[in-house]
Amino acid sequence: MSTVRTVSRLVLGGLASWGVASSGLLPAGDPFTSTLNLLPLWVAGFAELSRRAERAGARRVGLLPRAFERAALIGLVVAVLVRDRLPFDRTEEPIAAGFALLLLAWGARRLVAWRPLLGTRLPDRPSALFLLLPLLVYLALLPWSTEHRPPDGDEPWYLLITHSLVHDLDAELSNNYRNGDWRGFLDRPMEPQPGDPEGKHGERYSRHNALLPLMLAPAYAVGGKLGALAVMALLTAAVAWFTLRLAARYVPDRPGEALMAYGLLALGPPLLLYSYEIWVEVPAALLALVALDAINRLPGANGDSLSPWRTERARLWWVIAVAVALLPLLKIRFMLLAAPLVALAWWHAGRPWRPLLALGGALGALAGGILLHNRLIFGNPLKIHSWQEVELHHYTVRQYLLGGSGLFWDVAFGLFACAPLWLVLLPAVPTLFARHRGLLLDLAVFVGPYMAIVVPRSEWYGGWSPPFRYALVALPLLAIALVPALAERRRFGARTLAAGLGLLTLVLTLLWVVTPGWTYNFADGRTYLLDHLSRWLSADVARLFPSSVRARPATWIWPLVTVVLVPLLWRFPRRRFGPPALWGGAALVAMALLVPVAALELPTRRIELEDPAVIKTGGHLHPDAWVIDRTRFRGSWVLREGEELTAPVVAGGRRATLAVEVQLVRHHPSGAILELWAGDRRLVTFELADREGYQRIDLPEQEWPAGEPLRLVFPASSSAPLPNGAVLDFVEISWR
Amino acid sequence: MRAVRVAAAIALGGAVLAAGQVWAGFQAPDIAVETRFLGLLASLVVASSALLAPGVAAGVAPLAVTLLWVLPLDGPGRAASVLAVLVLGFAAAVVLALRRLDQGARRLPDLLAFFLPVAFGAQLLFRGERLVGATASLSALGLLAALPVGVALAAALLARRYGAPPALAAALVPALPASGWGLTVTLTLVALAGLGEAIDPEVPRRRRLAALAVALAPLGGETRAAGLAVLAGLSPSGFFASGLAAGLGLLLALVVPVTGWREAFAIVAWLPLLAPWVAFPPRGQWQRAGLALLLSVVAARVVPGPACLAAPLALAGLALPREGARAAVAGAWLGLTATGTALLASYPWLRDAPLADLVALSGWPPGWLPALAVALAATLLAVVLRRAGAGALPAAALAVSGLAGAAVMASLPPSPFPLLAHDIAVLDQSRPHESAELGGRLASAVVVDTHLVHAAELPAGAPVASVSVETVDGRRWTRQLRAGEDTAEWAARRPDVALRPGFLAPPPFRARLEPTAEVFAEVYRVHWQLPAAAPLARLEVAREVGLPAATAVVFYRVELRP
Repeated sequence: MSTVRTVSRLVLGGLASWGVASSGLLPAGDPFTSTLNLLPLWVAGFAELSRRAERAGARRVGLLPRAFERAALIGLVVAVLVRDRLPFDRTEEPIAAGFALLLLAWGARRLVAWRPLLGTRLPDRPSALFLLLPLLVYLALLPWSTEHRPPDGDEPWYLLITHSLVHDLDAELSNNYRNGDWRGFLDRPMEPQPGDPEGKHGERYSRHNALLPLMLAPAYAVGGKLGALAVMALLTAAVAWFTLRLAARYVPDRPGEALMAYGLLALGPPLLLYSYEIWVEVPAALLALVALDAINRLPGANGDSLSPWRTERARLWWVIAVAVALLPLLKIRFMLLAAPLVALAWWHAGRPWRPLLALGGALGALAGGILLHNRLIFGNPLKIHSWQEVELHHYTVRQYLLGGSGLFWDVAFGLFACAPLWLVLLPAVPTLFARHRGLLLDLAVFVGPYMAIVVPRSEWYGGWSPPFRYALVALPLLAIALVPALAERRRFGARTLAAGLGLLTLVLTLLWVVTPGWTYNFADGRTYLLDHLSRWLSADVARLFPSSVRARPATWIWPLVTVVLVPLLWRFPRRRFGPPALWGGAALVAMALLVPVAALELPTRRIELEDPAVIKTGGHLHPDAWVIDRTRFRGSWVLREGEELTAPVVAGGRRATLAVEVQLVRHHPSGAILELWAGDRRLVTFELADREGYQRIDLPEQEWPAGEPLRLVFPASSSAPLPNGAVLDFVEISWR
Repeated sequence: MRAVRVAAAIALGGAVLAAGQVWAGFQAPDIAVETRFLGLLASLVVASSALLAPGVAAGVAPLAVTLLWVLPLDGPGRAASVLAVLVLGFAAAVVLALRRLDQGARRLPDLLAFFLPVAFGAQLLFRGERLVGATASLSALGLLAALPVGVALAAALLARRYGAPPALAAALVPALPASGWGLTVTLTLVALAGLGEAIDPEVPRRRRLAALAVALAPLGGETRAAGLAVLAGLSPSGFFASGLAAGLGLLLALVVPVTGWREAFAIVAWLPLLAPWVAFPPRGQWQRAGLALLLSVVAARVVPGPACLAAPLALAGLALPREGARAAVAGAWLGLTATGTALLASYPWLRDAPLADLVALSGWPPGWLPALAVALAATLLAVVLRRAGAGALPAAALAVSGLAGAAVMASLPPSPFPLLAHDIAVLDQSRPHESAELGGRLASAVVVDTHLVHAAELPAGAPVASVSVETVDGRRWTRQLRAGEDTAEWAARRPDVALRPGFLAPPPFRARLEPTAEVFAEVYRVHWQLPAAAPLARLEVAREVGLPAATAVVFYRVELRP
């Protein structure tokens, strides 16, 4: 009866959606058309989810929140419908932020109300509601995100392989490129990626594996791109659900805290951002979770004997085997996750040799097969990579430090920059060492070898992707690692910190959801947000934040300060000094104030001349922004004769010693002379030598007038048709 | 503990204030003035919200600061967004705090801890524009700082007698037609609360005498309004006292009228519109609701000004249903009207009659038609939701906002085509006209937002500019804009302009904080219905030839409506 009611309500919601879509309430090109068309179905789904949860024992959400939610939903719908009749420009983003806020608030409020569903001890198998809640949230975000962000990064190629699998029943793409099959999901032409293999008879393959497209194919056949993205949303929701399930193995007596960690994982960045995109890291995380869950259920695991039966034990080994085998089929680098998982299984199961040999042999055979296949098809066992990349001795300690800290602190790609609430991991570390060494050990063994390879690579940040891509597979275990710290959340310091970081995370989440393109950053030490601030303030804001792509003092200061301060603040003071949320909010706003103040007051020591805070009359970026693996090059600005650039300078003294790193591009024999000005006063001129590569030019100490910008002028010296150029990297300034 | 909470609220407000000030420091002066003003207003509202519901305030503060920092600086969008977040956040904080307030709370400090921030915050949202230059103006300080204290005290006293929700309604409902608490409304509330204390036999005699003195004191200043408040204050004394009050009121209406019966009848429509529950009062509230209705007729006849209904509206607020579907519907309606009025009263709209403009959004002119429709809909909704039990409030919120949204959507004109949406056109002696090619775009109306510069001395009705359209088949239609009727001097709010003999200005459409003068420039809207819908080839705006040399006409926005 209950199922009939659920189905009938969903059918009604669907019919209402169909009615709204047929009514033409909004024109086809409107950014809210899909959102509004599907709204009745989502509302029916959310209502049904709440009803089911209440029947299962969840608390009923209070009257006031429900009244607010409903009034806000109506208000937002009305705002969408009347927005072009209002005297405002650019109303889409604020309204979308309103919808996102309502959606996240709805989800968070339900999670609080669903706390009783977890009981006093985390259940072995959490309710399916914990899968459906994030799934509905992700699906509700899909219409907006797909209309505001075309497939990017590796996504188009995964979709094209999926298309080929569905329509041609093969992974050969030459006909798909030729026929323009990408038109179904992309509005710009697609070409093979550099390094994609070509067959003897002109066949074109992708370097991406076909396992993920195989998973997406059935849904793609039914719903095209939206169908494929719906599957990704399902996989992401499954990651969240399995995390809660796995938490029962590590922290079974902390259901409340596990629910909070689950909430942050499921409804916060970065996982939320991946829910509407196509990345292999999501299914990889899911497979790893499936394997870890089975590993922890093996007889002998955690010292208990949950599954003593031989058949059950065999089933668990099979689950582990399948998950482990699928990982390298998703991407060869996931072999580095699969092998530690086998080791973990062996260890947790009481070190039995037979399964180890069987699994190890199978994995070895699989790896050999993949390498052989790649050798035959690509001419390289590692496709586009080299063996040198996996030889750890080629990397320096500095590369490890930069990549390691970058994964967490980098302003463009790091976990903490994307969602600062994850900083709670820092106070969790000591507790993990003291009381949850098993979790810590599993985490270290699971991701250690993988991270050892990924972290020092020049592309540690994951390339053109949302933040924390390469380490996403570790995110579920990191979420569980939050639990011990959350158990201490009632202290005043912890609550204040959580409020401040939580509010910042909320604001950033809204920003990322409303402008999905802003989560993709160029590897140049900056972000869209910082570039906007730099332009508005006419100051270099990016230098205040850590970047492992472009190392600077902040790259080291932020990790050191947060590693010390966050655990201290989390634990002290314990006594309450008023409402923590207020202090947290006040501290957050006050910290935000420091950004412009510091940008305009801290003395300039280095000017990256390609940055947007530097105003140019001409020239161009070098190398081009879309050059692959651009971090191999020095990001510079090419200034041609007759052009100049002006950079804001905060004086740190009355006298300055400057050094310029520049490369001459000679096109005619006339002298290449650069002029350096402080505002309207010419300080020095210097000639560029004909030398290979960049040259450092140390200039004599000069008196620097406070408040004046630095100008670099490249005067025209000849009427040659092709002017000389100066590839300018940076200016360093020492103050006295 | 309360002191620490106040300190935390001040810290949060201070951080928001600093955010506005620092951000303004990086902006051009013409934008910085608005940023400073919005930062100051946000800081005070956030601090008030923080005293009510810390969690809500902590969420509102970064959202408001983010909007202040990231939204485009041109146009009214940034200010409207920041104020929308502040109004909605403050409303949420009030509702949450009201819910947390012990319903049996009778201690004055506890009640004041609720009503003081409510009064301060709401007054700031209704009259926040007075913050500009407030330190130099005693009346502004009194309006923003002193009157809310009186309101809060009166509301706290009423809450001891009637409970917090009716007391809040009694304080809030009279503030809506008058855009906040002016002197009349405040003294009315003080008189009502004072009389309640004075006639309560359980109150010690000395305190009763003191309360009587307080209740009667306003008679010296606002005699008529306070007199009506005294009559309203008799209602708890029983049927006889209510009858006496009704009789005296009718006598007053006959003897000392300032308004004709027809006008008074129109004014009375505000009562069912603002407090539709008087049309379906719960058991035990019939007497109070009836007296409120009767006194509204008297008030409309004998008390001048927009706050004339203060006493009956306060009495109607006290008749707020306490529980069940009626309470849910009443609460939802009060929330909608209060937030809507606050939005239209606040910057950048600064409407003279925000409540009337709010009603006009539904497509009906303010009057008995919307009042009866609201009363009828509220009654029906309460009947329908009678069986909803605990779910009545969410259902009422959905229904009320849904009906209001549907009314707004039905009344709004079709999507316009904006011209001059991003740039301002200043027509002066050197550039007396502007034109735009329209390429055959179909339009039935033209909407123009303008104001005048150096035009305070122009006589009312003087032509200042013209808007002309040419259809594709060669027809030409022209609409003249006249000073005082269609547009007016930008500084119409400034006393030296407003008090100039013969100066007239139409109701403003929106306001804009001027960079140098620290005064709100008003922008006026004209809606010109074309003789027929037609495809247009060209639109021209022109400054009138004979205007003084210094006079300029500023066009902010021109819209074509299909």
